Amino acid sequence: MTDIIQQLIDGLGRGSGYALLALGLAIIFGVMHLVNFAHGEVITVSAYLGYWLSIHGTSWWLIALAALGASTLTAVIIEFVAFRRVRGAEDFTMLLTSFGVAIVVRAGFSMWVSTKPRQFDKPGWIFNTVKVFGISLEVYDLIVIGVTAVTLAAVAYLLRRTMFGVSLRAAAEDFDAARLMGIRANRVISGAFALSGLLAGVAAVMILMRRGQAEPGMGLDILLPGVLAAVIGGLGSLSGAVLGGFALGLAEVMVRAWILPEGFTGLTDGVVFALIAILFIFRPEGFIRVGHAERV
Amino acid sequence: MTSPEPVSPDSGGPPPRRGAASPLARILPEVDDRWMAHWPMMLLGLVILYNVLPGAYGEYVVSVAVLGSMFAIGALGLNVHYGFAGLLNFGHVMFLMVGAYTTALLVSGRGMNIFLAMLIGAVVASVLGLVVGAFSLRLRTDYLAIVTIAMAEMGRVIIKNSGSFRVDPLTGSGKTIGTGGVFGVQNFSSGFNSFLDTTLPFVNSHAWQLFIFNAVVITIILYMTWTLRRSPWGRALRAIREDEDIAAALGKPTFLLKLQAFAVGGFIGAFAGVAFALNNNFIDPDTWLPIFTFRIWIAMIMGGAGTIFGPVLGAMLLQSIFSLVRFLPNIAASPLFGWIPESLVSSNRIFALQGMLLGLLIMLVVIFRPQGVLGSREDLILEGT
Repeated sequence: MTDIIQQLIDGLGRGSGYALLALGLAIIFGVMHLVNFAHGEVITVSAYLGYWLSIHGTSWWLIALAALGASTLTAVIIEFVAFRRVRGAEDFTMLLTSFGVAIVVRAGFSMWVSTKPRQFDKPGWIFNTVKVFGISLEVYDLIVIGVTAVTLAAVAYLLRRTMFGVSLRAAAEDFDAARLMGIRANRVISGAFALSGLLAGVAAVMILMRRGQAEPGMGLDILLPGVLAAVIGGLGSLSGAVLGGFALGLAEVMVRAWILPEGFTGLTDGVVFALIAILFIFRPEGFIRVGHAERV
Repeated sequence: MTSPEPVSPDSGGPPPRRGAASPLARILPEVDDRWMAHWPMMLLGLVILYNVLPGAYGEYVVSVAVLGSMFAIGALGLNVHYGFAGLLNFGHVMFLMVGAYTTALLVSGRGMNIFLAMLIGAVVASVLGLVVGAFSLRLRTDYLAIVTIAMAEMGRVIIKNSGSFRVDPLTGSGKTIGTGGVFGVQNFSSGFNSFLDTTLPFVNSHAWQLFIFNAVVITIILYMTWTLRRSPWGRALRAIREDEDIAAALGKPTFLLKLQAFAVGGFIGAFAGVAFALNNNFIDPDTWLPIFTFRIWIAMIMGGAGTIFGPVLGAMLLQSIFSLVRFLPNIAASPLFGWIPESLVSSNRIFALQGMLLGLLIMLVVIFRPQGVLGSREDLILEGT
């Protein structure tokens, strides 16, 4: 029983990051029909900013705040510089553009800083554990789950109760109709990128606390599970993306803990991917079916 | 060279004819016959360049051509996926990886004949294509992109983490080569090199020998894709690319055709991986990063997706541009370009600079000339939504 709860918490902690990334991707996909592979670069930028601040002795609270700001700003800038030009283009144009952005950012950091990873200090409490009812849990996991829950609740409020949220959802439903209703295309798309950048920023802070390093190629590595989570959930659907993120986190932990024999944990990703493949065979539209996304 | 196409009940519509009003008539075979002129011209140009340039430069040009030809093989495979069938395969490197690993392990572990191993590697890659395609080809195009890139990355990570495994059927029992893990697989190309030495005794440069081998492979693949593209099979694929619903309505088994295209492209791609492995005599998991796939993509698009010769031209062009970047330190050292900071173009930053160039090229080509050098705009109408 203790084991199960431990794994569950571990899985939720793992899934939190995926869920936040997947949600950001789903928001962008909703308004632009773009699978944004440059989304991970937002995290890279935050990581390098964190590294820079931490070698200048800034506290983790400030680093976290700065990372949130930097990721939001980066997402908006990327939209303004690159994606605005390919809005409404074919799938492959937008996809390749997002890969292009990712490669440029990555190459930029390897040129400007170094191709080698840069280490910085993790917060001191990161590996602490607490005992709750005799179960030892990592403080980190609990904080991550808590922060994610609060963030998701705030996003839900934003999307349902504010003017911006409503126009965003309207644009995701039918972009042209939303424009005819007087919704500003540029504003809503910039807003969508800002929101997704902020979500990625929250994920970035969590990941950086644990990882404590910045390297040029980290963006795509971190992003890929998030993209998969979004697809599992049904890319057009926001709640599906969150669900997909947590499902992927739990699946990873469970496969590692209970399915694979000792010494074969290197195959976790493979097994999880096989599970995803099986899911696609039986339910190619993901957990939540979205009418307008036409994925099959 | 234009003979009237045979009217086959299988061709998915009326026989394509220039100027006809049918949407399928856009699919014309004539423009593709030019590869028979372009390809020998390119080879001749290389030979002339080699003889005109002073020694070391000539060797350098050939080594660039070897690299370019490897990417060309990869791009030819991807062309079957994207150019013929419109499948957004962003994990193409997995076919290269599987082909290279299978071949390298069979040769180094079992001592198998390199050509047999190569063929088995290609077959394994196309089987992988069937398996991946079986669950991902039902998805819409951009979802396919995600699934394939994820698949390629996971495959790479698995190989990276599997150093201690013993793959007895592959390596022979008792040997613990496994997949080499992070350390990579080595020592498999000596048989190949001695084969090159015996068959090409009059060529004394190893780079030339490798290039000739790759050129033979490319010629075979060019002929193969040319034939495939003109066949009813190729035309049905292009009909799928233009509009899958119409192709299905005409009775084409679209899923099956896409699956076949995926397998064929994987088969070709495997040879690029093998060529890469044989050139380096060493493979490790970190060779097969997503950026490798993007390089193949941009090579194909630059030359012209959907054409026969475009991928080869694009790959050579891209490799030439990349190799010019290598000379940037020399250029920056000259007084005319003194304003370029030395640190920016120092030789250890060349990789990053090439990466930057690749990213910018991707965006520029995709936005301004998506049909590539050889492609025609009409042939690329791929309105997804």
